[in-house]
Amino acid sequence: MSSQTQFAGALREQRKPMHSFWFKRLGIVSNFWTLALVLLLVCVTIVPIVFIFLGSFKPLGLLIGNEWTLKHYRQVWSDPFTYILVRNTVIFAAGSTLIGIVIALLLSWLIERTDLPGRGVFRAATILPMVTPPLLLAIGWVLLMSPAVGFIPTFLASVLGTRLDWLNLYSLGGMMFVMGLAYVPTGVLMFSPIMRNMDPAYEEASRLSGASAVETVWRVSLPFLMPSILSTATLLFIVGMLAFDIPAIIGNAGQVFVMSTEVYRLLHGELELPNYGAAAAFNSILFVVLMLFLVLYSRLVKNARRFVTVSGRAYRPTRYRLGKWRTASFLFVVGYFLLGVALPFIALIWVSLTPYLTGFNLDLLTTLSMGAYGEVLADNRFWTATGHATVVGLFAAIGAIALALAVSRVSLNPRGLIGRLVAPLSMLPLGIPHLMMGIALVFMMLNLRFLSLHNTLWIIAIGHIIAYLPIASRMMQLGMIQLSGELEEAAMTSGANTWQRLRGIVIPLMMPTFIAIFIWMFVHSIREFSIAVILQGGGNEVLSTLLFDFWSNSFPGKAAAMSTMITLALLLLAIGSMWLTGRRREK
Amino acid sequence: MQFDRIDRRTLLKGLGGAAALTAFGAGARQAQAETLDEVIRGAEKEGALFWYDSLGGGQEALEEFQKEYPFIKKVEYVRVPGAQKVSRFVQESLAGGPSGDILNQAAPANQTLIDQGLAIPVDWAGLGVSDKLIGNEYLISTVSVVTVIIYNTNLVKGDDIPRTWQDMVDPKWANRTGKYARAAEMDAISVAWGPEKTLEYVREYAKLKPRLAESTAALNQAVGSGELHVGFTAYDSAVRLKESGAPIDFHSPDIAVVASLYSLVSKAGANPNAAKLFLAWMSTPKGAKAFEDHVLRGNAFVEGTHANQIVSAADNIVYRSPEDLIKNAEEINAFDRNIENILQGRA
Repeated sequence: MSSQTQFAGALREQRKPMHSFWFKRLGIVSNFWTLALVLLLVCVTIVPIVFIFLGSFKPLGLLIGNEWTLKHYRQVWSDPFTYILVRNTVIFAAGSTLIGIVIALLLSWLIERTDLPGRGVFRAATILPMVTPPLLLAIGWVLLMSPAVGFIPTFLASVLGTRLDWLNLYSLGGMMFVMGLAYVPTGVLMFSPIMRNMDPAYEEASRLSGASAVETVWRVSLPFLMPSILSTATLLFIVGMLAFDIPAIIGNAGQVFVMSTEVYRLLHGELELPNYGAAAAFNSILFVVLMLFLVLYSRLVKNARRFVTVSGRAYRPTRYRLGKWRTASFLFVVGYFLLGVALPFIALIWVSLTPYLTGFNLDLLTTLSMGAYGEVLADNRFWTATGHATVVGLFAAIGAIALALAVSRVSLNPRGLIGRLVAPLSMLPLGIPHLMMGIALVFMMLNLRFLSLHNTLWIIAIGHIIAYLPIASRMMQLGMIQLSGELEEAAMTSGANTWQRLRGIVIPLMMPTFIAIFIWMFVHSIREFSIAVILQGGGNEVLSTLLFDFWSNSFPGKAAAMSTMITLALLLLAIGSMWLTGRRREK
Repeated sequence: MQFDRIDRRTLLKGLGGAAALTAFGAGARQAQAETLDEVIRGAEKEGALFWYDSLGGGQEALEEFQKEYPFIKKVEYVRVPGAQKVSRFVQESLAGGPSGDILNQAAPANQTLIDQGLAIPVDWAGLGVSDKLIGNEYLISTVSVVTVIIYNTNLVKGDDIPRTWQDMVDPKWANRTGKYARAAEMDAISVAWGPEKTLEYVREYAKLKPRLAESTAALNQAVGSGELHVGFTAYDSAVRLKESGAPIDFHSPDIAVVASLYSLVSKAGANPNAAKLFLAWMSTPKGAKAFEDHVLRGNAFVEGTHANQIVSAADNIVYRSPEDLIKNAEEINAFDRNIENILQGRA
């Protein structure tokens, strides 16, 4: 052996401890799969956004050529209309968040903490608005509130004897109202469990100190809830900043433009090429702002945990007596379900039966027919889109379960620096509105053409997996936390490897959670619109984009008939899921 | 928001540097002489035709074509909103295709895509297409959009029925009128009025806060339902709604305007020969008539079509010539963008 070889060998030996130190520190050696998971998460969350960000500095908006430019940013910010868009967007997002939070808080409190009559029925009924996609809600509300022919203006005009021209749905106020209604189910989902499980000790102390019910709610309950309220509000605000479906249906009709409709317009110009550069600049700026909100959100969530409202003691939260407010409260809750579900659905049914788009008119009763349903069912596009939506839903649901399982296992027991990256990476999509996610994927597939993802169902399914990963991971973690670690430890002691432990213990015990996530993902994939509409080509049409096409191309009867069928199908699916998970839990 | 158009030179330079984008950025080319027989032989090998557009009845029209050329085994028409078809076309071309085999829209907008190298040059004369339909070696006139004034017959009666362009800017229609979101008829009327008077008219009209619909069909529905009282629309889409029993009627304004749409053969399409054959068939009286019967949108420059009869019978009719549309494509696009910005309250 030459001295040179000996030296090299010695050097290798000398370096080894340092090498293994960093590998160990980063958790690479012991966590190959964790590293693979982190890389996968980076590919699906960071890389698409990087393509947008870099694209915003390229002349064409795509990573082509060697030139770099700031012209897209100059164009965006030198245009006075940008500031109108920003103002409209902030008002829209903030206003709809406020409306959604206030209604959701009141509903949750009335159902969970008061002696509201029929609260059990109302609690079960909260599932109804969840299955109504915002797109359908918007169409339903157009039919209800359209200034000249909507059910509500027509009814009010007949009662009051005059038209209320100020009651205009096609306005920022109208958009905020409908978006606020669309937010209520999420708000109720967030607030109800907290209110249901609140430790009553502080409230009881307040009441014993002579405070009235209103004072107790205002001074004790509300401050306890405030971190949860703020975190939910931040989340809804983020969603509202680039929500597309309601602004597209209601805002465009009234020429009230927000940033999401502008980004869509930039990518769908008729007189010129899609302006990828300006769209990228818009999205990059918004992304930075939304990431700040996401940081705020995660801080608020951490802060919310400090305000522990659920203790280990056995207790039953006190129910407030509504007294003279009982009827008014009951009417408020009924009113919400009427406005949020029943009336838009009735409007959809009516229009699905009329020969052309029209308001409620008894003279038309003789002309009503199921023709639109027949047309939809006879339309090949409907069946193709149904098949596509099912494939996308199945792939997205299975993919989300697999990814959420991997994310949750690492997040709940992170090892090394790499392991600790998993949780924040999986939460990142929470700060990326669906429209932006769709655009990020467009940029990714246009820049990575060798993947041949354009115009495929897979790209939409991937978009859905990424977009819903934070929620799926949260659901998975909640399920995993309930599993006792002893079982896995026993299996590990007996020599079972990771796969054997997963197959023998985790998967069977987690089956109710898997089913819940599967159904939730499937339903949300079917309802999702913003990602699908941006990614659709000629060959990957799904139900939500077909519905938008029917509506935009002026087949209101077919759009309404399809909406009715989708709502009923999703409702049956949701009820079936509740029944199924309930039965499995009983077993 | 008003953005500069993407600079063509930059585009071509950037795309030229990207070897991967072989289907994009080659710029305009010369058409190779070819005969109808050669195109038929090519179409026979391809055996399919794929097209998306915003017109109703497109699938039936393609099936009529299929009857004439049964070796085209598969014809597929996907109806998309007018505002989406160009972005789909461009996006699919950028992604390496395949995209639709044909793109049918206003000539200036199509010319922009031709300049980016997204179309195939065709020897139209060699395929037997009449000279008066040929815009250039990429474009031929395929359909004409005849603008009409539409109104709700329950809400607008007698002397209130608008008959002239001037009637349509009466303040009584504030919040009760609408039109297709694009410049369309406002561009066409500029042939009679000139750009200044047209923009003045557009500003007057914009004061009424018109509903700008994503398609003429959507606009018609709004008039039929009574949401809007009057509007500008396309003849073909209004006919369909009237036949469904909706309370609407329509007629040409005092100065009739016709906007011709031109088609190109897509470079990213999988069936270029079938596309050429289809467009050549559409230029024949038989093809144009069959197309019009299903789509209700005929070609004003092909004898025997209803559109041709309307144009021939009109006393006062204006339209842009093919030379004007193609030679002045950039100026027309800029003018149309200006009109759209005024209507949307952006300018």
